[in-house]
Amino acid sequence: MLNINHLPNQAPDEEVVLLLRRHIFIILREVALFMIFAGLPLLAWYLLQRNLPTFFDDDIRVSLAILLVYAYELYVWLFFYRAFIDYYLDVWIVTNKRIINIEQMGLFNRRISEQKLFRVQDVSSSQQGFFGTFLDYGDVSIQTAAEVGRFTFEQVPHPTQVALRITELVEHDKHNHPLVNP
Amino acid sequence: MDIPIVIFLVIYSVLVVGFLIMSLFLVYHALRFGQTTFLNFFTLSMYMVVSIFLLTQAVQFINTVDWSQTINIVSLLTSVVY
Repeated sequence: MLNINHLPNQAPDEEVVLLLRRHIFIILREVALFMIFAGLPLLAWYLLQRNLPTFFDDDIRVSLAILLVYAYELYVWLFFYRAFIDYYLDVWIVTNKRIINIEQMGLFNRRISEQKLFRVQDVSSSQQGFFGTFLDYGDVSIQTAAEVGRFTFEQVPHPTQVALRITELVEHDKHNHPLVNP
Repeated sequence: MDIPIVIFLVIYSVLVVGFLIMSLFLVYHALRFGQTTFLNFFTLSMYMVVSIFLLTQAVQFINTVDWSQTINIVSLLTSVVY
């Protein structure tokens, strides 16, 4: 498990400054969507009773419909938890030395990349859409001089403040780094 | 055309096996890559509890049905529509 107090390859004087995930609205939107999906059988049941009451005359048919609902609800629940895992395992960690980008892409793809702060060339933020502007979330792009050219923190809260904070950390790290300031 | 309704039980069982396999992967991901936080353990516990509840409810319901019966597929569809 990832322990935020014991990062992999952590330097003795390294401290976690920012731990970022997507804005909580992103997962709440998924929760609302899955609640609607979970409620669909109730709506179907109501519509059948109202418009096709003969459906319930046959016990076998009703039993099979109930079994179908159980299977459906099981998979709605599974896909909801999968959406949560996808949300929860995407983490961006900014320390006073480096940026760590952990992305879970589906069930079988996981990408972890990191970059030293002194290699960062440019930090920018952007907010798009009504909810992004209203709830203050958006993307933070970090351009580096390394092979992994660009990091993007997606849909994180307060992107402007995050970009400013990273810029401060980068300036501070460059100022103190022996390769940049020999 | 009459078909035994136990076929639907077999299909449900296959879906449950698929659910269990995918759940295993998700739980592994949560434990292997998740953070040591209350939220992670809470959501994992919730997932297990609700899954077990859904499965036990389904098993209780399955036990109340006589699965040796047959159903006529043609009449099943036509009697609902007409």
